[in-house]
Amino acid sequence: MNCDEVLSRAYDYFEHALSPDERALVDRHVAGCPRCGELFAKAREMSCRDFSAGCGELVDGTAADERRRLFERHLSICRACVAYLESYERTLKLAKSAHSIGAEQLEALEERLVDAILAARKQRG
Amino acid sequence: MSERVIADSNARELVARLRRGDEAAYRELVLAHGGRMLLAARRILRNEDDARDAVQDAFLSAFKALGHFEGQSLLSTWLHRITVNAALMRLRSQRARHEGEIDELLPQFTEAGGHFVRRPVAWAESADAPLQREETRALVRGCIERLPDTYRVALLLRDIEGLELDELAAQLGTTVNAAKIRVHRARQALRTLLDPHFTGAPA
Repeated sequence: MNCDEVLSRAYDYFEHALSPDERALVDRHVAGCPRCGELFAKAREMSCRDFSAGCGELVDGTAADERRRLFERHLSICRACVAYLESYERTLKLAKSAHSIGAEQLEALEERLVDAILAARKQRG
Repeated sequence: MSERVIADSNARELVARLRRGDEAAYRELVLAHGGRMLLAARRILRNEDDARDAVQDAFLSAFKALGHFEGQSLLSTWLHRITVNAALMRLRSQRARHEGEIDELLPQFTEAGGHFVRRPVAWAESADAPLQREETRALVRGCIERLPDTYRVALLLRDIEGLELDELAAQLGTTVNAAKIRVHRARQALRTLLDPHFTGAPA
């Protein structure tokens, strides 16, 4: 097997969907190929499930250095998680701006409510 | 900077007048801060009457607690926290709370490999461009409204009201870690709800 053949089988490899023979061929190539070896090592370190569960820490900047490096290594081999992270960050921005107050939106309380509040204060002494 | 200093000294003077029982000062406080407090209460409560009641609750708590106002935080920040508390108290007391499952809004993964079942697609480049448009903001507010209350409140308090994680945990009655996870899931669920609007995929 060459690199391309191995890479095209990587998804099925991690899904345990290859035949034992094919799996052995992939293993043999990966053991002898530094490039594919590195890629498979990164894929073993962190799954998309783990990335998705932890990416909030990455965005909030609360991930410890070692953990941040793991996230970055995963991102370097996974376009799905790159897309996920980007849309997660945009979601956060959109959420923050959804409720930002424009000057036109900020209205004073109705006089009636102001009076009610001040009256309630006096009642309760 | 200078505006902030002026606002601070005005607030200090106002607090001093309040403590002396100056009637006009109470009205000034309500007029100056009520509008912003009502907006915060509306974000948490779905009903306008409840939001007004929460603002009234908040002012009454604030009047009572004036003696404890340290002046270390801004008066507006202090009142904001009290409003959030009052709104949450009202939300908790409501019987018809909007609770639902969050699971269907979280990404699903393959059992063996932990890959996304539905592979995320990059959002269109323009997703941030219409950020200022009221239409987009209304869409996002609508999606936030659709989150189950437990998660909606976690997201609001953390990402919109700006509470620190330990304050959030105290409000939710959870550990800091559980609060962090709740906020993260709420963001993930919101992302799922927004996704079809920004990828052009069918909802």
